[in-house]
Formats: sequence, C-alpha cells, structure tokens
Amino acid sequence: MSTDKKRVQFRAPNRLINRADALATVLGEDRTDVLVTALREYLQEATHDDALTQEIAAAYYDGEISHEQLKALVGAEEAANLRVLKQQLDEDFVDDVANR
Amino acid sequence: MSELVADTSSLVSLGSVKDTDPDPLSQCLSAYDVLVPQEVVDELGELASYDDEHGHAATTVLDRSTEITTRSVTLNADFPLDDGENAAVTLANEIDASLLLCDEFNRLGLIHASLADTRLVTTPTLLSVFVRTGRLTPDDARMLLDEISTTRSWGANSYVQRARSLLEKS
Repeated sequence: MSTDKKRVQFRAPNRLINRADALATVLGEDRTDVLVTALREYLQEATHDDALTQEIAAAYYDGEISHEQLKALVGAEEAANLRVLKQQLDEDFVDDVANR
Repeated sequence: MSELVADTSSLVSLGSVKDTDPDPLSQCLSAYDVLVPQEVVDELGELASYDDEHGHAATTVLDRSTEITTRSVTLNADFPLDDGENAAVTLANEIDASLLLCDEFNRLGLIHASLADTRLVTTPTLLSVFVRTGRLTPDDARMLLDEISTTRSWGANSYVQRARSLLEKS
C-alpha cells in the first residue's frame, strides 16, 4: 500500500472536530490520526455495502470513473467482475456473440 | 450449431421462466448445442430437492435433460472456483466451446480469466443476443428479463438495469 501522503483541507462542523480532538487526546494521538482512521473505516464499510457497490458499478458502466478508480474503491477482485459485466453491455461484444 | 456450455446459475435463470411463450430455456436449446459437465447436473439435482423458486427452476431444466449433453471432465485444481464452475470452465476449454453461459456475477472475473478462447456471457446478455439474431422481440426479451430478475433478486443490480435499458433501445 502506498505511504505517499497528500495534504487536504476541508471544512467540518465545529462539534465534529471538537469530538475528534477530544478522542485524539484520550488516545494520545493527533487529530489527523483520528480523522484518517475514521475515513479509512468508513470507506471500508461503505464499499462493502451492496447498495453503494451498485452505485459505484453504475458510475463505472457509465464511464464516470475509470477502472483504476474502481479498483481503488472495491478492490481488484470485484473490479475484475465489474469489468466483465461492463463488457457484456458493449454493443460490439453482443454483435460478436451473435455472430458466433 | 455453436456449442454453449452452461453452468448451474445460468440454467437456474433460464429455467425460472417456463409458462411463457417464448420461454428462454427453449430458445437457448434451439439456438445452441448445450453441454454441461456432470457436476452441474449434480448441483441441479441438489437444488431440485428444495421446494422454492430455484428448486422449481432446476427441475424445469432437468426435465429437458435429453436435449442437453452431459460430459465428464477432470477438474482443474488450479482454478480457484467451486466444482460446478470449475467443471464448466474445464469443459468449455476442452471442447473449445463458443460460449460459456454463467450468471455468478461475483465470480465472473475469475471465470473470464480461466477461459482460453470461449466467450463468457450472462443470461441478460444472451437475451440481447437473441434480440440481435431475431429470435426474440425486444418486448419479449424485456418481459423474460423481468421474470428472471424477480427469481434471481437482480432488481437492484446496476448491470441488469443497464442490460434492460439496452433492450429498450433496440
């Protein structure tokens, strides 16, 4: 896994950040550690939610996200499944099968 | 006629609609030489023992078994697939079948990677092919896909939704 880091800025409700800071103090970590852990766990959980996976798949079929982005979201194995399904929707593929 | 190897999941899909004219299993049996490995027949037999929609679909397919060729194969231990899928892929590669019909949407990447020259197709795509070849009207294909989707709980699947939209455009 890449350890490259990217600097990001975002606005969040005060209360949420105050709670993150409080938890960071309790755990002896800094705010970034808490936010990164929360984000990682959210992404892990969200991409195992079937409804969201279907939305991700739809974005991929419609060309809104690339195969690389798909792979980053759902993992290599599921991305390979969705790549086969995207091919199934291709008119040329259907023609090719029809002519076999 | 082109050879089509079917796995258990796809035969359950085709067998889940039977009281319609046209019915998808008959269409498939008349369009292709359909072959299955013994493992798939065994899996259908096991499913058929259950009194539910999948069980009834498996029974519908087994009732037509004289029109389906069963072959024995030696499973390829290198394929990380269950026995039915493994045997279907092995058979398709052995006879260099034109098509492998499979509806295990969560395994398609692995199955695709295990095939040599055989094209992998799913049932929604097969229905599109039947429209393309004039076997089904777009309306009939949509009706069949809707019925199959109900049995297979495919309603929320984005691939199936898009396959259905393609049938609307054709």
